[in-house]
Amino acid sequence: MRSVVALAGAVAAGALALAASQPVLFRDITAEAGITFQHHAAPEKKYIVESMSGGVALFDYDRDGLLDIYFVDSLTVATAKDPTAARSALYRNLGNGKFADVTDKSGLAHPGWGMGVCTADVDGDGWEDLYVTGLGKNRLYRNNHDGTFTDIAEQAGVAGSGWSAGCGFADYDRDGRLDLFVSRYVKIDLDHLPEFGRDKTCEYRGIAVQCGPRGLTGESDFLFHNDGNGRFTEVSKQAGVSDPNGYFGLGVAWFDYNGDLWPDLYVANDSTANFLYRNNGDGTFKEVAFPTGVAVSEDGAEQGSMGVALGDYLNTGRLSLFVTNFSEEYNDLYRHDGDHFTDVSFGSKTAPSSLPFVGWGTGFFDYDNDGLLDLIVVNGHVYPQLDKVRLGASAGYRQRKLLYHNRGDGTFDEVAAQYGRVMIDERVGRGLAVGDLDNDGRLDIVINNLDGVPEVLHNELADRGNWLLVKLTGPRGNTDAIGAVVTARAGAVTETRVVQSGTSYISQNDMRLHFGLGSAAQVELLDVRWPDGTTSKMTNVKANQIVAIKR
Amino acid sequence: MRRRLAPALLLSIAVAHPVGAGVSAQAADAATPSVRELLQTARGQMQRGDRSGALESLGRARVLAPNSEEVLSAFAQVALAARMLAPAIATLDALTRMCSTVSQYHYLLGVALMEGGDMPAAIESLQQADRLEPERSLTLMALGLAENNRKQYADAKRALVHALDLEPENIDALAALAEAEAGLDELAPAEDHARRALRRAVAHPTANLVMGIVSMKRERYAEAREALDKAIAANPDSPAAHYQLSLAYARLGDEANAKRHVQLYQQKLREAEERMKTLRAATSSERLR
Repeated sequence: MRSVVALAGAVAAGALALAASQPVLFRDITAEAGITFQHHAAPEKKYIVESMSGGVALFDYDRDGLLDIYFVDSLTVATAKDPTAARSALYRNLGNGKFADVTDKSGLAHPGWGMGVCTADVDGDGWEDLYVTGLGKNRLYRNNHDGTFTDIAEQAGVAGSGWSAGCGFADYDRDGRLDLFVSRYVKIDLDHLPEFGRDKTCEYRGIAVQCGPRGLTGESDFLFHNDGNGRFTEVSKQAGVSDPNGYFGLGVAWFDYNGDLWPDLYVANDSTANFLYRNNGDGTFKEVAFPTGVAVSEDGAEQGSMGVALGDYLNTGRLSLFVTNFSEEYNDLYRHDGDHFTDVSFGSKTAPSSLPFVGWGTGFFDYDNDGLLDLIVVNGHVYPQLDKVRLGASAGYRQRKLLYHNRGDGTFDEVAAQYGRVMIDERVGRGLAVGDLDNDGRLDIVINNLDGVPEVLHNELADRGNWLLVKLTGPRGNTDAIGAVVTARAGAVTETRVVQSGTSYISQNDMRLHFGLGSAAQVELLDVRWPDGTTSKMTNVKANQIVAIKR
Repeated sequence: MRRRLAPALLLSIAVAHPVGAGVSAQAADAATPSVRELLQTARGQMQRGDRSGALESLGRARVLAPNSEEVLSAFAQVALAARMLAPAIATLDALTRMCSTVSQYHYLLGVALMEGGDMPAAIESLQQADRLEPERSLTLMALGLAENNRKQYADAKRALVHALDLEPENIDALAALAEAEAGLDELAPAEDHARRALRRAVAHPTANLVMGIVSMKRERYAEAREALDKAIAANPDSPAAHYQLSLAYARLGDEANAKRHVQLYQQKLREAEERMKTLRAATSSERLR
């Protein structure tokens, strides 16, 4: 007995020694920061609609210069008729590592069956508004400048219907006003739900699971044109982005992939080919995902695509696409090669480690400020029933994160395990947002976990480089400067970032642009290409500060 | 992405592994002489190429001797050769339980599962076959093919290099090795091995597909188009080849052909899904996802 105790003590001491020797990258500060949000979903996830929520947004709603956090909660089939059964939450950043729950005052607690979120200053008054997608009506929460919000979705014409998932604002017709794209997923009638395990399409490796999305009917998508009078008009059909075949839309990313100044649109579709809509510059789009090489995987497989990240990970000035997918598929890294993309998932060494996992929220970010964009993915399965059966090489229901360090040669090392339990603890990850919560130049991570508590991961990496954070302010109509592209030249390195609304998996990143500078003490040239095509330049900008640039 | 094995490979499996005589065959012999007659009839029918007749004879033998290893083994192999995967899998599943130390049944079950698209289960069966009877090139090659399909390229490469050590002239293994190397982005050896396979079998579908993929990655689009055309000529049902060919045409600025091959890709994908759906409907959910 004594020897067993001694052995246990030795093991514990070894574990402590191991923990002590590991460098700290992220520390989970959720509880100490005062964040008590709890996401809700039915424990058994008998229906697909109970597996897909929810998003998270990082945005500064009160204009105090600190990022606040909004978590989206969801109802369940059992609680569907009681909107108060789910409580989404707004946390105000107090600036001392603490957050205050200001949900009740804000009026953001009960958007209904919540899914995703994106932000923008929709009415151009300089205050961030919030768009929340969900099952049923979506919400457009106008910021009242006093810590409260008012839902104006119906009067603005953007309430939509059905099951909305991803969203993102962009000025697609360059009329100076922000428009809105909303992806929709599956047609769901809560009174006639597909019966759990009813047939072969509702089985996974021989066990009964929720049905869908395959075997269910998909939903079309929405494009809301901002008419400039407080109202939007749904123009998806005229614009050619309606998805008449009802692919299962989730993640959304607006970006100008071909450099013609017109915002293009990427939509990650679950179990069906993804879309890349090239903006024709006349209010219409052409779907070009297949010829550009971003529709499916390299071997032609339609994957279960969820989240999307955009990043110039090679510092070539081109934004590549990263798409998270279902287990036994692989996450795609589509390298931007000019007029097309190339699937370099295996060549970049990001694919093999992703095979056992179901990927959701994701983001390119330079966590160590070395001037190279790294990559994070949160994972978690959709079938809790998996834990009861043998799975072979696949992971279980709860899954670890993947953290990729950019080696600078087009390849990545998966390094999550080097940074301790916080990165490899198993959760059921969904939404993920990246931003600098304490303005210390190190990028933090916030994660919304399905049916669980969230994670606020504070970046505490000691050995990191210099940095610059750029806050753009555009003219009225697009005060966030959504779509602006900023390049920062420091020594031989030129980094490129874009301002985005809606990204990752149905979430919202910090819209400020972060540049890791390594040992460079200044940015020699900071070049802003505003959404209207005009440019601003700053020279010899000192590192380690937040720079505000106004158009 | 489900990849079909070359029919030649399946035939070689059936030929290379004749019906085995097991312990329960004696019991069957003793039980009823008509089982022996039915087995002989089935052999004759197989020699004449009458697989459905052979299956019918063996089905009758199964009724008389449901636990006979010899009968079950013959039935499974004929069903597999006839690409009747559902009965083949069910029978081989029973055989691996009855005779758990016989490598051959795990191997055949692995091949059948691979054909049925259940790669995780196929890999498990093939690994078990390899454990029971190591150093067998056919098992290693099948394992490599299944691991390629699962994109476990490093594992596939190991198995295929080993298979080629044992059987250096195996063109299928060489082409599969090229595929694994292309997956690992080792383009030079992938191209070298694909070319070596093509020197000996100019129409080899996998080798041509690998040449197409490698040429695409090296931005030699005209060459890619040529290789992919050959891959499709050898295996018109390959969605992957049609997809890559659509990309080659797109890079060459031929929008019409790019679009045509996207449509063909989608059609082949749907057909493959339909085949899979039919197979799943006919097979125990315990075995096929």
